Amino acid sequence: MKLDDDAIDRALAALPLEEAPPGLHAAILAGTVYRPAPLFSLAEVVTAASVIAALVWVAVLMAPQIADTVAATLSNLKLLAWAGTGIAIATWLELFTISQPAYAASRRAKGHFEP
Amino acid sequence: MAALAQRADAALSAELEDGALVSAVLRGDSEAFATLVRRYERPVYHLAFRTLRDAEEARDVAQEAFFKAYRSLRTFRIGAKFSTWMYSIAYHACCDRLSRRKRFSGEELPESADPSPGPEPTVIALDEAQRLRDAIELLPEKYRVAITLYHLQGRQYEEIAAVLGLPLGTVKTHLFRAKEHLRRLLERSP
Repeated sequence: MKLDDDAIDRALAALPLEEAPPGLHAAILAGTVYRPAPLFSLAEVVTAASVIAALVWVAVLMAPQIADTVAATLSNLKLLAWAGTGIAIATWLELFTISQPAYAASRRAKGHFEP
Repeated sequence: MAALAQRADAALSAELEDGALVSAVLRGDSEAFATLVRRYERPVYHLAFRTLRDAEEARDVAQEAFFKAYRSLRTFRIGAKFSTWMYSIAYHACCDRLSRRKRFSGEELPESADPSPGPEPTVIALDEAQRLRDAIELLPEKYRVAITLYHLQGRQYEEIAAVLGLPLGTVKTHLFRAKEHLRRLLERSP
């Protein structure tokens, strides 16, 4: 069989294209226009990540200083004594002053009504 | 010849609509993109199938190509040919697959394909179209891609050159040699 250029062109033009597999159209649309929008936009994710990174960086920088401060405070007995006294007074004032909110609340809960 | 010219004309008028559809997608019209997919899924799949010779991979590449096109639609220059842009994306996705294949199995890339017709052709004459398909299958990669695009696009060498990223002269040479190979294969087949 002899074929000239035109015969090949005609044959190529008449050659039907392969059918796209079933489901391809739906798969493409599901991955593009019908794809659910992400919960956060890229800008939001980048901003949050930057803020977290900055906080972590600051925390890492300050960690030794914070640890030193806490250690110095806990080892100062005078300071601890004053702090303990302050907390005790605050607790006493809270429980036994005239207003006695905690006491009144507990009485109200038990059904005692004040005039 | 006339059929090819007619196909080229039809493609030309379709391009005007393609541009409008792209603009509509950019305005948020999802149906416009569905229309573009309907219009190009078959030729894109055909190109991938002819290049890769694997139905499953061709399906994946067609999908990838449309995903990429959708993501980069803003970079599409309105007024350019959407088909050229789309085929170019699909062809590059095919090249990525082929280079991955090469990494794992040593298969050759289109650029370095052997220009000889490959294994001794055994074209089975089922019918005319099948015979031609079988002959195209036996072409070396670069000729197969060129003839597939020629088949998809009609006689538009410039588009094929743009899709493949090759000089016009090289495309013409590829097509000439591809047709020579095809002729030989078809003449040899019963």
